[in-house]
Amino acid sequence: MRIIVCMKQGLDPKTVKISRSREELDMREAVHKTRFADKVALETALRVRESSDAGEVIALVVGDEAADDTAREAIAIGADRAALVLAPPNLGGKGMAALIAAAAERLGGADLLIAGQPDEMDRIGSIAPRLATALDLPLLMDVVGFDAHSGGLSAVARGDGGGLRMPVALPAVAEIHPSAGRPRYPLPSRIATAWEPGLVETWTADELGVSEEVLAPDTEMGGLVLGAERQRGQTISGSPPDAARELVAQLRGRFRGQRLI
Amino acid sequence: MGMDLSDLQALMGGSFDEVTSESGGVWVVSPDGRVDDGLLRLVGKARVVADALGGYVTLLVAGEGAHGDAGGAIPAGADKIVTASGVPAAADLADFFRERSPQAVLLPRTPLGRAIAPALAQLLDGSLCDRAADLAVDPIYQRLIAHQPILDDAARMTLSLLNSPAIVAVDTDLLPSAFQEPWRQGETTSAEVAWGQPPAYEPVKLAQPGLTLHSAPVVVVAGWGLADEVGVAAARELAHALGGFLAGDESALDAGWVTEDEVVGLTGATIAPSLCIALGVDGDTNFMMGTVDALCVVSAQADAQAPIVPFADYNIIADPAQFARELVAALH
Repeated sequence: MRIIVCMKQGLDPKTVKISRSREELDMREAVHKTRFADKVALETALRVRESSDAGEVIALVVGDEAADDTAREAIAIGADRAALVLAPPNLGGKGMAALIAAAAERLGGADLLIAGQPDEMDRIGSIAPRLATALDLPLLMDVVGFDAHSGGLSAVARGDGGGLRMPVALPAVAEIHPSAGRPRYPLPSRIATAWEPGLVETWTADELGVSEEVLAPDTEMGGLVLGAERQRGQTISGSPPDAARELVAQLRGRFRGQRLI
Repeated sequence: MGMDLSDLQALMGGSFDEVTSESGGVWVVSPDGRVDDGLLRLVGKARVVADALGGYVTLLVAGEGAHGDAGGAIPAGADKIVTASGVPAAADLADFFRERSPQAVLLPRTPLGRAIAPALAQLLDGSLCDRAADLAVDPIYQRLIAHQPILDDAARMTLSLLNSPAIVAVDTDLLPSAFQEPWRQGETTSAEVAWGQPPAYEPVKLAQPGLTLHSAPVVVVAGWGLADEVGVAAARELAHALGGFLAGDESALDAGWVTEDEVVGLTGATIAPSLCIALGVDGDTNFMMGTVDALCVVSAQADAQAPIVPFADYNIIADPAQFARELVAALH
C-alpha cells in the first residue's frame, strides 16, 4: 500500500504577536515550522505501514524552499521518501489541491492520501475535501486510526460522542483528527542521513503542468479585528454565592463558543 | 448626450440581472436538517449580509423529519425556506447551486459542514473560509469578508473572499443571538429533489485521552489559603466539575496536597490553559511566571492586598474553599 501524506509548514503561533497600535500581526519574530497536525497525519501513516507490515509512506510537502526542511524532517521521522512542490506564498485552495493531485500522479499514485486538519492561521482551509473532489475519491473526515486486516482497511473516525468504524474503499482521501496519536520523534540514525543532498525530489508548478491561473488565491488577507484589551485586576464583589454566579456569567460570555464553562 | 441602461451597466462593471428569490442572494444550508439556535443565528447573520449586498436570504433544509422546526427561520431573517429530502453530498449541492448562482453559501461548522464547504468551493470555483466567526461585506467591492479567529480568538483575521460564490463554514456559537422579528414574512417551498442517505457505520468506543497538567483547558491551583484537606477537597470538586486538572503551588507541595509533578510555577510546570483558577494562592513571582500564558486567571483568596490581585483577571476576596463550593453550585 502506498500512502502519501500531504504536509506543509505553518506559522508557530507562539512566535506571532499582535500589534494593537498598528492593528496587525507583528511577524518580526515569526517562525515557520512543520505543522503539528501534519506530523500527526504522518504518524498515522507510519502506524498503518507498521501494522500491515508492507507498503510505502511518502511525504509530499508543498511550500517554499524552506519547506525542504519539513520534507527531510519527515524522512527523519520515518517516511520512506519525500517530495517538495515549490509554490507561491499566497497559494489558493484550488491551486494547493491541483499541485498535490499532479504531484501524487508523478509519484505513481497512492492508495491513501492523508492530510492533517488546518490550523487557525491557515487561510486555505481543509485540503482533504478539495483533494477528494479533485481526484473524485471517497473522503474520510476526523480519522483517528486505521485497522489493516485481511479484508482490507477500515478507519475509525471521531463522531458526536464516540467513534465510528467505516470500511475504506481504496483509493481514498482522509483528514486526520489531531487526537489520532502523538507524533514520534525523529530517529537519530535517520537524522544523520535525512539532510543528504538529492534525497528530496523537488518540482515546480510548471514542471507539474499546473498553470498560474489555477494557483491564484481565492482569498485576500486584510487587517485584524481586535477584541477588547485584557483587563487584569478586576474584583468581583458581593457574597460568595453572588460572586460565584457573577463569575460564571462573566466567564460564559468570555469563552462563548468554547464550551469551557 | 443621453445615457441608457447599457452605459450604466458598463460603468458599474456588470449587468443588472433582475434579483429574484430563486437566483443569487445568500443561502444558508442545513445539510442534516437540523434547525437549532445556532442555525437561526446564522440565518440572522445571512440577513445582515444580504441587506448589505442587496439580495434575498434562502434557507435550504435538507435531511429528514426536521423541516417542521424550520419556520423559526423566517422571524430570524430568511425570506424563503426550501426543503429537500435526504442528505446531500457536495456534488449534489454543487448541481443544486449551479442553477441558482448564489452570491454566498453559508454552512454551520459542524462535521458535515466542514466536509462539504471546501468540496463545494472546489466544485463551484468559489472562495472558501472554513472557520469563520463573523461575516461582513466590503462596502466598495461588495465582497464578503470572513472573520477568522486566530491566537485563541485574541484577534480575528479578515479574509476577503474574491471569487463568487463565497462558501463559508461558520462557528455559529460565536455569532450574536438570532433575530426574533415576527413581522417578517416568507414562504416555504420544496426543491423537489431527493438526495441519498448517509451510510450507517458501526459505533465504537474511543479511549479518552488522559488529562494532563499541560493539556487541560482548565487548571485549578490549590494554595496554602485553602487551609486544610477539606479545602483541598473543595478545590478537587471544582476541578472535577469543570473537567479540569487539580494542581498546586509550592505551598501545596509543602503541605503534601499535590505531588512534584503537579506543581505550577517556574520551579514546577509552566502552563498555558484557557482558564486557571487559583484558590488560596498569594501569587509570588514563581507562580506568576508559571501561569503568565494562561488566557484567563481567576483568583479567590482572603487578602485584598495579595500580589496576585493585580495579576489575575478576576478576583474574589473571600474564603477560597467556601467560594469553590459556591462556584460548583453556580455551575450547576
